[in-house]
Amino acid sequence: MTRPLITEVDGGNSNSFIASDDVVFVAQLAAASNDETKLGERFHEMAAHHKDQFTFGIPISDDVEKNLLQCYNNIDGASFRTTELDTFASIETFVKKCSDPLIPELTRRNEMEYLSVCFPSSMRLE
Amino acid sequence: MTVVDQDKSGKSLVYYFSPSAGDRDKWKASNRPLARAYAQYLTFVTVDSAAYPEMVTGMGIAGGATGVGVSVSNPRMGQVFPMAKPVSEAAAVGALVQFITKISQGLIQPWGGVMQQSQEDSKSKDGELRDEL
Repeated sequence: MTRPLITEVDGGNSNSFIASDDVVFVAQLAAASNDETKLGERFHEMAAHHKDQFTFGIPISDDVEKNLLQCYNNIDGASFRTTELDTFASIETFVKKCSDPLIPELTRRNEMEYLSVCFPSSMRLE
Repeated sequence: MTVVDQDKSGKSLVYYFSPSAGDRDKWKASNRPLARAYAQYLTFVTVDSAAYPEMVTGMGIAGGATGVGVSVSNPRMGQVFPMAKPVSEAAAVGALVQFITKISQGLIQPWGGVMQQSQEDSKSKDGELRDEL
C-alpha cells in the first residue's frame, strides 16, 4: 500500500503521526478567505518535491486564522514553526532549517559547507 | 590541500574524527545536547577518518586514516585546536565543554602544526601540543 502524499491527521493519531518519520511536516491551513499565501497549494508542491524524504500531514480541524507550518525533526529532537510562507523560497528555507541534521557527517556533497581546513604554516611531523 | 573558507556564518567547527560509523553515531548521540546548546556559535561535524586522512592530520589528530579525536577549527582566525583524549568515555562530554570554554577564554594556544608521533604522549614539547590539560 502506498502512503498518501499528505496524511490527514486527527487528534487521536497526531502524536503517533508526528513520531512516524525522521522529519515530519504539519501544515495548519487558514480558511480559504485568509489563505493569502496559498499555503495549501505550496504544501502540496512541497510534499510532491520531498515525498521520498519526509512525511507530510494536515490536521483535520477547524480552519485556523493564519497559516502555520510546523516541522518535527525526530532525529535531533527539535521542532520548528513558521508563518513566513509567502514564497516557495521561504518554505524551502524552512525545510532545510528543519531537516538539516544538527550534527552532520562530512561528505563530498557538503564539503563546501562544512570543510574548513587550516593548515598551520609550520606544520611538520616529529 | 586548498584552504576553504567555509564559515560564512562566522561559526567555529567542532570535528569528531573516527573511521568507525558506529563510533561517530555514538558520539553524535552523546553530544547532541551540547551541539544544540552551542548551535548559535558552533557547528558540530563528524568525519570519517578513512575518507579524509589528510584532514585528520591537518587538524592535529594523529593516526591519519585511523585517527580518532576531536579538533576545533576557527576558520576566521585560521586556528586549529586539537583536543587531548578524555580520561574516560563518561568524561568525554564534560571534557569537551571545558575545552570549548577554555578556547573561548583564550586559555588554549592554537595548534602550531607540530604533530607528535605518539598519541599517548601527553607531555608537550615547547607547549605546542595539547597543553590545555
